[in-house]
Amino acid sequence: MTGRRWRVVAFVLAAPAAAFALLLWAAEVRWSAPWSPATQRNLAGSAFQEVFGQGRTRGATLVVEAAADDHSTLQVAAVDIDADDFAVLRYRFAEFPRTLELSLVFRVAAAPDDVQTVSLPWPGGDDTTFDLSAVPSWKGRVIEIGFAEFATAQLVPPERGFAPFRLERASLWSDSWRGDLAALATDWFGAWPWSQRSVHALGREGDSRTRSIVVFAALATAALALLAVMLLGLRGRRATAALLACAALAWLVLDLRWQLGLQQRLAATRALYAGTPLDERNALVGDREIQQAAERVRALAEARVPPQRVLVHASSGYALLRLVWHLLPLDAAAFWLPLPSLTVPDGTLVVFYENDDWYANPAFRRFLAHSERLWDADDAIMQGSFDPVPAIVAFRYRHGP
Amino acid sequence: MAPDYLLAWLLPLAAGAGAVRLAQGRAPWQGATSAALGTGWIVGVFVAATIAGLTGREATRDAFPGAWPWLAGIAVVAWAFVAWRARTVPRARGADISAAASSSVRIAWWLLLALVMLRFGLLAWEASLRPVFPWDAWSAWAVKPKTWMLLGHAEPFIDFAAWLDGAPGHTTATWNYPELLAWIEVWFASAAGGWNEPLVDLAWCGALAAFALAAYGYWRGSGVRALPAMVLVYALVSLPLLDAHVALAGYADLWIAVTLGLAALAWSRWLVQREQAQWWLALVLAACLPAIKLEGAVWLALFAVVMVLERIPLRWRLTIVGALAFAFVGGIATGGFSMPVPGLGWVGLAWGRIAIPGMPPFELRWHAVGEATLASLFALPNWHLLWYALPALVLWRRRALRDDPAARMLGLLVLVQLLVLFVLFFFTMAAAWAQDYTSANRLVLQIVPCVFVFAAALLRGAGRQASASR
Repeated sequence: MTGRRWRVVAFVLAAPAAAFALLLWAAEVRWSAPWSPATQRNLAGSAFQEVFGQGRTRGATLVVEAAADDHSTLQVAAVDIDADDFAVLRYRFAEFPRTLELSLVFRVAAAPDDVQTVSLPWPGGDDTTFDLSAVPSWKGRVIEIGFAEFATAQLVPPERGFAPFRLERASLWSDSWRGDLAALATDWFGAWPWSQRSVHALGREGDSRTRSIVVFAALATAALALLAVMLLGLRGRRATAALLACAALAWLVLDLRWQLGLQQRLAATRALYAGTPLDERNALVGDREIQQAAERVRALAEARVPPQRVLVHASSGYALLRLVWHLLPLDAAAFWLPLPSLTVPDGTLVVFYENDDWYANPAFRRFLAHSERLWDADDAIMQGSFDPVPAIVAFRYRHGP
Repeated sequence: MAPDYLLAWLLPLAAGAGAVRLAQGRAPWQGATSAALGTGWIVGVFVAATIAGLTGREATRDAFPGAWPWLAGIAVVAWAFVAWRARTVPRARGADISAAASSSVRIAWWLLLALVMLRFGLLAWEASLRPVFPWDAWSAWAVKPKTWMLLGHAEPFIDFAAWLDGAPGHTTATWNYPELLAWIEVWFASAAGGWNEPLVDLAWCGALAAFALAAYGYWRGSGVRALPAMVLVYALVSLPLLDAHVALAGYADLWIAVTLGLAALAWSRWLVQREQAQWWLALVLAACLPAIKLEGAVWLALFAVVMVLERIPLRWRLTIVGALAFAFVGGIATGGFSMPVPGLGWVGLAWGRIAIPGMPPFELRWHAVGEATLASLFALPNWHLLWYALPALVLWRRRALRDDPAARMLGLLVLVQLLVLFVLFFFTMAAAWAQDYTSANRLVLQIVPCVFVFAAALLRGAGRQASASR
């Protein structure tokens, strides 16, 4: 064999070896760990009990047939493990709807009343592996694990999220190369829904131990180009061409991954909207409860002609601004704080949504001292009952007695 | 699909493309049609929105019926001029990916085009399914058009204090934002027959597609070969954050990005071919930036400064830059000064402080946000390998950068844009945007098309040099 051929053989062997070494680096594989996990805790689906919602066991699986009144479901199983010994979670569902979001819930012996949650990617139909070692609360003795499912936040109306599915199995693995690499695959290719963050920065939210696929792609490009120069003896324009080819390949791989993510998100969007006529899609929103509250406020405001101006205060910025959005085209505005100098035209409707500042906050109480308290046709929202906080409390503002 | 809605897409294309075609000069050039169609659609949409804003205030639901005859008129006049002028000039070449290219190049070109089309198909499908989703889209940008469409007329938006005093009008935190985008939304909503968020949001897909089309045409016209030009288009369209702004439509950043990018494209044509009309087209497009979003004024100011600098003879350039630098340093040293910035008003500059009317002053001090910034650019899956590739490309094509005045000027434009972002993120309170991965990437997104225009200038003639040397 000529020297040239030896160099080609060396490149053919070294290139995948270098890529694999980089994969191990990206997965932060512990070199001392075995290839397969030395110990596992396996839980059949039937080992889980339905806490919220309705389910029944079928063979080794748990069939979740209905959601609870709040449209969520929860299945738990008792365990007794040391978190450090079992940092890799594997789970498998069947027929899991695209409209649901999945979370791992667990409790630890040190704080048995606190339920910890970790967002998990959409499980699809295969085994999914998730690394828990970077989750700060995954430590000490774990006494219970479970899965919670609820309509994808801000995207799916709660009542449209649920469809029956099966929990087939879950397991916890000790450290292994196989587990770390599978967790890396989940980290890089897991199906996450759109979120408010998606227009600012992409990538998985939350704690992750693995390294970025973009950094991996850049290093793999540089490594392959370097090997081409060293082993194949490429120089000048041929070396540049090799670098360009490697970069193009890396870009393409990154883009195919992104395209896969787009297709998964599109599938979730289609699951919700595809059967809805175009002119009805405006109304099909993830915050259906805020939308319904807006309709009640609108009825109050439009009870007078012309419709009254509305000031909205709410428990969160999201709820406040969404309520204003749903109230449009009413003349509604966000009301953050009642400054002492603030005066409002008499007759303005002041609305509190899921918020008790109207009696708990002295500044608001002073501001509303002479205002007339209103409630809509549904008396249940008022009647002076402060617990639970009524969804909507409304006042007609009056500056003085 | 309603014919009106289809017309709302086609009329801006016809009117804008006709006007842009007139600005392309008499002699046809490779890619001119593609450039005219892409640029023309954006220009046409801006014109449609402006006419809708002028004629449709009292009856927003009739904004489309009121404005379309004007657009049709512009289209007829523009294309009549184009046809009259075309009598005396030879026809443009037809096929872009010519038979002279090797079969592998042609296959790669078509494959990339298929990938681009597939991407636009996915994005349009997603956008056409859902109502407005991202935060600022419904809390800021769509508040006015939704209110106007549902009311049936365009009520003014006023500040909160005036609203509390009982002044007529609606209020919102973003009451003073520019309204061009709002009228674009009214234009499409009116044509769709009412406030229909999925149909309004499809315009974002149109904006990116129009830029891609225009960019391909301009790059071909500037001497980039067919395959590298298509590679650049694919690379741009593949960028995840750009795609996210199309799929989850509603933010203004994409419109800033494509408008600034189109201005850079037209200006690059001037730099290479010295077509005066392209210089003016670049200026007109850049002048639209403050009408889209407030920071558009900053991009306009920077763009205008670099454009003017380029027009100054080389022998005077250093003298004038030196004099301006001296005046700037002197002004700061003597307690600061103010300068007018279109769209922002009189901007005050002093040591450690920038004051923009209507905004809290920017106190300048160092913020250690390097890690978050680097993560955004190099580690998070926002930009694929763009920010690795850019310095590598500059290094590789350093001779083109040294010898080609067009590449140098476009490089200067990108450099000052990056410098402004550097100062903004590392020296002002905007550092928080970088730290929490929010607005920082959206500001980077606004200059990404310009980065591609610069990259194309560097690649111009790259293949030919290689061929010649073989």
